[in-house]
Amino acid sequence: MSGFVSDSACGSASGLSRQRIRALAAAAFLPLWIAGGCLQVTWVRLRFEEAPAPAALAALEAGGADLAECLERLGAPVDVWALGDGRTALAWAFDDTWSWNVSLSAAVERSAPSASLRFGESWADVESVVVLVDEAGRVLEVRRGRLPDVAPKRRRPADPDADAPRGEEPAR
Amino acid sequence: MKRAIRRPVRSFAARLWVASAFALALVVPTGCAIGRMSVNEPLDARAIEPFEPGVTTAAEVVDALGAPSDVVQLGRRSAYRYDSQVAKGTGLVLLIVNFGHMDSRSDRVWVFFDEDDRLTHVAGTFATHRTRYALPWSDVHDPKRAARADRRRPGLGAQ
Repeated sequence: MSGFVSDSACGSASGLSRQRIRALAAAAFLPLWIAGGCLQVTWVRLRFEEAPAPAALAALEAGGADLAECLERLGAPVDVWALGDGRTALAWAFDDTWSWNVSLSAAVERSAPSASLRFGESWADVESVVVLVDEAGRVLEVRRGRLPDVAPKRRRPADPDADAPRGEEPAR
Repeated sequence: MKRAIRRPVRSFAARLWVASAFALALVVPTGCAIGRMSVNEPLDARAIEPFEPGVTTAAEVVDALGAPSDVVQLGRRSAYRYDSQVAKGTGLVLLIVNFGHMDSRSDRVWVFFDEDDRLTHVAGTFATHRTRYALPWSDVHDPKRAARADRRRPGLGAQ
């Protein structure tokens, strides 16, 4: 940004009168004020729940844990569902999504076509831990990753006896 | 009569003022918003303390916590879910740059029962009180701040 100042206005040590300073500030401010209407930069962050402590996960992945230990280390799951054969899936999910967006629009004249440009990007960090346990409560598997990738398919609620472990006589 | 000589502004003060005006234009908020959304009432962490695996029945759990949000059939066993959620959103609109943030946490209790409706496992996570109004660069998961918030919540720190 440049401007001109007359020698007559150079009475102050800085070489600028208050009037000139105000004019310069307004000149700097005005284009931004106008640009604010057509240029927008947006940064949004969405956070859902908290990630479990890495030490807790490492202890579960080491093997030998049961459902009680799993719940103690990770807390209450977000979801629980039956897998059949007496197995159960428990899921803990947490999300940290960043996104930013730049939009630029311009309308030159009422009769002229207007133009707009929008560009954005997002980073979704939807992580989850899915633990599979058998009917005795032993941890069979610990899976980590995006929930849709690691979650086993849900089964429709059916005859409870159909979910009894194989080889066992269903209770009547 | 003194003649005015025009020359480009070069002084440090002039550049400082111009830079300040730009910076001011970028940081002056033209609007801000906060919002809060909650689902169900926060759960009482003290309510699950008396639950004892092998002793407590499903009826006693329902007496203590009320109707569950969900009941899951796990073969011949079952699990009840109780939950509450709080989300806090913040928006800051500047002249050109805008910021938005949403922090969402929940209280969850899962109780697992055997085929006789007797408690086998119970788990509780209580985090609605940690939800914060913040901006994208804030560290809403700061362990020290979370510990301070826990100390104020009955059943977690406060008595």
